[in-house]
Amino acid sequence: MRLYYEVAKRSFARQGAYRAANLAGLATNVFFGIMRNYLFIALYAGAGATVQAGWTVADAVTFVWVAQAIIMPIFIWGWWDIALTIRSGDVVSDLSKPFDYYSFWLAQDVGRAVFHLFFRAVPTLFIGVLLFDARLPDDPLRWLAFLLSGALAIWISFGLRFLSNISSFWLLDYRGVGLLLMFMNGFFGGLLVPLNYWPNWARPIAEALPFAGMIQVPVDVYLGKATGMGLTDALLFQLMWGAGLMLANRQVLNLAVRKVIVQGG
Amino acid sequence: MSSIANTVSDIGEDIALYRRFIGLRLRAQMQYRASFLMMTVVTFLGLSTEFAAILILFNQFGSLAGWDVGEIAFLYGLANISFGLAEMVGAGFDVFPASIRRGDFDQVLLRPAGIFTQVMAADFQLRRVGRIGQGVVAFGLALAWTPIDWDISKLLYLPVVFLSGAAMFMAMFVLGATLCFWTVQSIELINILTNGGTELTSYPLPIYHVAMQSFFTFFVPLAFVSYFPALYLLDRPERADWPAWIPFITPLVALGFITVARLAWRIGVSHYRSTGS
Repeated sequence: MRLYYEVAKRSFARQGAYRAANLAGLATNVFFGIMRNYLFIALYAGAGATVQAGWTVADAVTFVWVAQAIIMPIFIWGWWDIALTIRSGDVVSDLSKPFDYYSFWLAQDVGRAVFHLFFRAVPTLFIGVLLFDARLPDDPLRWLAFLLSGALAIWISFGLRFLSNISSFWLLDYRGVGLLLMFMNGFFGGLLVPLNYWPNWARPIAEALPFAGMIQVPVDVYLGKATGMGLTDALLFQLMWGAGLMLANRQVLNLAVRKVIVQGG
Repeated sequence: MSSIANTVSDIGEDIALYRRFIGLRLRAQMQYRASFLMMTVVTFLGLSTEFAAILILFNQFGSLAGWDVGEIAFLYGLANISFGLAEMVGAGFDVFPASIRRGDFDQVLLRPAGIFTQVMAADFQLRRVGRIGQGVVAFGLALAWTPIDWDISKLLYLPVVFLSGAAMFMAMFVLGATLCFWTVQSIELINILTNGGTELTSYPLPIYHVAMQSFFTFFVPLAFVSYFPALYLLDRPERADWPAWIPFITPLVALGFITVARLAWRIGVSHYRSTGS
């Protein structure tokens, strides 16, 4: 356990080295937040009805800012760290070290996520609340549920990224799968359009996929759209995907390890 | 007179050189045909989700600031085709920060060929036709959904709009690369104006805060990528809010913007000190 804690701590510290890049990234999150903030205000103003698909304009605007805040800790972007070690062959030495390979990478991702929580998510949401009309949950218990849901979202995201990366044991070009995953995260996760606005026939499909557990579900929890039994269901849904992906990843990794032929040199 | 003749022959040489560089890159990319096809298809499908998102929103809300779905698709098509063209031609400026860091730029300076051309040709990804193709599909749908009162001046105006838009995005790539002469590391601040700018120009300008409207009209003139051209081409009532000539200065604005970018680039080059690594 101590080892994984140290791995996470180093990963956290490594993120801090890119200070200018982080500031530029924060500015990008805020810019997209501002654009979509005004997009939803204009959409609601034009529609005339104060409630659309169960959401008020305040819900939509809050969704925009919370989503912009959490996409960095959850990390919905292309991520090739493991694929690159498979390509270079470094994966062999990582696999032979005395630690659990999956947990080693998960610890790295947790360190990264905690950094992004403090230096990307918090400032983005702060700006959304201070300068725009994003709301904060008034119930401290809801904060707790949101943190739990966010942690599960990171676990799901990591599971999908791990799976797409180790697919490069078989596929020679790792970028295609990773790029596809990135687009699916944004679309089916609800970042581009929250799933409650989706047409009735498409919504249940999107809500069953793991991507929903990465953005839509945590923001629903934040907004208080999932309470009581709904909250339990939401968290169970995330837990199921997180655990399912972990089991799948371990199986696939076992298959891959049996297949690896080291060329040496 | 002879200096003009020299300049003209220099430009001719640069164009010939650029074509040779691109030819090399294309041949290299075609060695991995399956990989190229997969990346192009993924890019096309992936970016289609952006357009699908717009369709879902309009299915729910009906219209945006008085613009219907066809008119938004028109803006979206203009923005994405322009950006796609700029991204394909100007990709070299996007990978430029790495060559500053590695010190590769020293080699560029030593070669007896145009610096601008060499940097521009340093990367060329044919898979980027994925984005252009996606913009073309959206633009095609826009034409099918929105009746446009075509006349000869509008037909002549349309290609000018695409080229001007591409030039403006290209200018932003150049400005982003120019920053690296001072910062050495890649500051991805310019992504806000390139990727962010594409989304911004996919919607009508008046939905944004007045300060943003002024900023993107007078300072970073992205409003000329899609909004002002669309006011004219679609005969939108908002045109009455502006002087009648506004849509027609689009190429001049693009020319001005790219001149500023080239000037900044030239200052950057003369300011360059190698990292020495």
